[in-house]
Amino acid sequence: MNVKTIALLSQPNAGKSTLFNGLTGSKQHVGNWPGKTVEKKEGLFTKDACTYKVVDLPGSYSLSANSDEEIVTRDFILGDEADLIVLMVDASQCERSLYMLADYIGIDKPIMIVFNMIDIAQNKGITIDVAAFERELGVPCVAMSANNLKGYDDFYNKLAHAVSDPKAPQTEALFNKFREAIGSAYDDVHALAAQVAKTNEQAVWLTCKLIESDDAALLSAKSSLSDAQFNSLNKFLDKISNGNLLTANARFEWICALISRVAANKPLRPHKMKRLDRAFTGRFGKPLAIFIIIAALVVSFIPATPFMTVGMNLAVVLREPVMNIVTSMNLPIVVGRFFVEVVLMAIGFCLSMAGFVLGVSLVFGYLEETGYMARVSYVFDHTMSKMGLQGKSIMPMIVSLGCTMAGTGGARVIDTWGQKTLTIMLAWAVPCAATWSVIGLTTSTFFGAWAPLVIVALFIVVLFHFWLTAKLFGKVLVPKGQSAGLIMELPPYHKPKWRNLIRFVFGRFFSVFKKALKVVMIISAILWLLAYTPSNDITQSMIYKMGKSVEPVTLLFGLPWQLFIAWIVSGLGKEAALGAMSALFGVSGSSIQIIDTMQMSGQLDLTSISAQMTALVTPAQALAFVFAFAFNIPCTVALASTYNEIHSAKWTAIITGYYIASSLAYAFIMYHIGLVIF
Amino acid sequence: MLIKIIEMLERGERLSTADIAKRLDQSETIVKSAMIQLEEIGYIKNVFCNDNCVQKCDSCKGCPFKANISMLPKIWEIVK
Repeated sequence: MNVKTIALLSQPNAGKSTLFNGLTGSKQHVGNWPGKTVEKKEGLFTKDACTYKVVDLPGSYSLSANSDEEIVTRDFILGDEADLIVLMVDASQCERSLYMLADYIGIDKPIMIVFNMIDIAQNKGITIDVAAFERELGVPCVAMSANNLKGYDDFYNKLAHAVSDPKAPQTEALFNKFREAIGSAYDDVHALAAQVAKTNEQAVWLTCKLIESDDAALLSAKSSLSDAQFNSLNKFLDKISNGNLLTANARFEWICALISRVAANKPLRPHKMKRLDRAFTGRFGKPLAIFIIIAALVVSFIPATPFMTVGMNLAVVLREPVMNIVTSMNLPIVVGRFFVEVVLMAIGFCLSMAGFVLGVSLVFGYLEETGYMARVSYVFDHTMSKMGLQGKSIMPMIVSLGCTMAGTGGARVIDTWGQKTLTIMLAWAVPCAATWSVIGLTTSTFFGAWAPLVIVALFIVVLFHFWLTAKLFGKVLVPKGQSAGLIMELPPYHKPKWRNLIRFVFGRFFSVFKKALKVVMIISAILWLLAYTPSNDITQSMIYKMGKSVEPVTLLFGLPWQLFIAWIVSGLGKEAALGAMSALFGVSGSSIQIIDTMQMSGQLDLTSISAQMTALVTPAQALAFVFAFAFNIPCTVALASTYNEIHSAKWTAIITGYYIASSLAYAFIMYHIGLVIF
Repeated sequence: MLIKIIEMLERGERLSTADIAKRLDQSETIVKSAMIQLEEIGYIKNVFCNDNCVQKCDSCKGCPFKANISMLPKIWEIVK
């Protein structure tokens, strides 16, 4: 029986396995390549009285012998087993796939080219002139979609033609590119390679591989050439620097020229998206990014509002029923108070906080899904550069929007110690998700409709803080001349997948609520116990006395003793501040008691904890707290992570001290600005 | 084209693949393809931080938040 062996060759994800399955169906055998752990797949199919043995070669980007997969692929192609190589090209990104063809040229083995995923290419506005491609290369070519089993007829016809009249691709144009790129040394190496290779075409291929310092090619030359010839070869090769860059560059020039002749790309919606991208990444990209981020933060309040309303009213609404139950069960009143002032208040605060996280996650998740957030990092990269930082410093900054500890960990990719330290120093100022949620909650509590304005002010101060920090520490940490180049690949714009987004948003909501509740509850319980007195008079409590003793100093920064304690515990973890506020504004002498007083005096028109808290804290003090809180050290875990990354107790202490000082300095300034405004 | 990209990086330029495509009058796809090849032959490296920050973030028990890495662009720099 007439059996022809065909081998499927391509880069990963070009649809090779789909074609293999489509051709062989269930007639497959899976094993391993001899001496390798690389999977070997073979199958059979018969068409028009000819049986084909199909070998699915491991996916590979080139024919260099770097990995086991590449060695297996190359050895098989260079061997005599295959009658035909079927090279699969992903038509939707054929520039990427054609590098394999460029690397294949010169092997002098019959080939057929399959442009797979042609339907996807057409949807993208890409057209490929298959006939022109055939003329250019002199080998059979076909366009198809391997996952459409009914559309294999053209493939079978071309395959029959390719095996009956086997042809290797034309090589002259590419060879000229090599000669042009490498110069006279190319001819010297080629003269020796010709003594090793079986054909003239293979000599060119081998010449390139020798120039690329390919181990297998050098070994082959060493075994075939005399010692004197091999020494001469090495001398010629020494004259060529960056050989693999020169050959790769020549191949790309050839690919670009070929594509310009045989393919056209007219994206279906080019102008709209290009205009949009130009606006986002162009001259006005930065102010636009600032505007969009601020607008996104403001919009985040909308989905958060219902949760905040419920959260901030929970303790007030349920207080009476809970106390009635406690009384009816003959339990001590303190149990009821603990439940209302710690448990319900903590649940209420965490619900409000999680609500804000939900809003932020929804709005920023939407921006991220569209691909916009990556543009933000692109436009701010130049700002990083002006601060003397490497472009990749932008990554820890962006990661810090989620979690500062992750941001400091991410700074490990920065090579120089000084740049890494400065990056971490700046990343600390990026408000993490916990910071945003507490700020969202506190600003809406204290400033109501004016909350977005406070957030805008905070955003501006964060940018100022970046500049100030770079000015203060940049000269010490980042001497001039350390800036390096970089290239960013921005993800394409696309429509958000709403189902994924909603799942992510609610996943984060519940995760934040659950985890924050533990912290808030513990901190709240400890501080509540410290503030508790049987006489219901907080002025007799230990924490009140401690707080009041330092209040003359803390008030200079606009922080009454309750907010000062909230500021201190926020250094352990941002959400811990809620525990402090929950306990200290929830216990005797504070909000709940104020309701009682107002109820008795008939003045009660306050219906929520948020309104009650505003009775205890002036707007100027609240403003001071927002800034003190935002610039406080992020959390103890971020602190430990910082030391772990920079390995310097001195600089960890400097960063910590700097942030504590900055935090109080901003509080002082904002408090006095607040006194003028309010 | 690959040589020109390396020269841009050596000059300390900070560009997107779209910027390079515009400068070289090529498609962005081919520029991305060139990046892969330059990485393959060891001239540039991808500095995406998933090896460090994601693991760190996942291992943290003290914080209820997770950094969302997928918002980051892919970044390459020259191998010194």
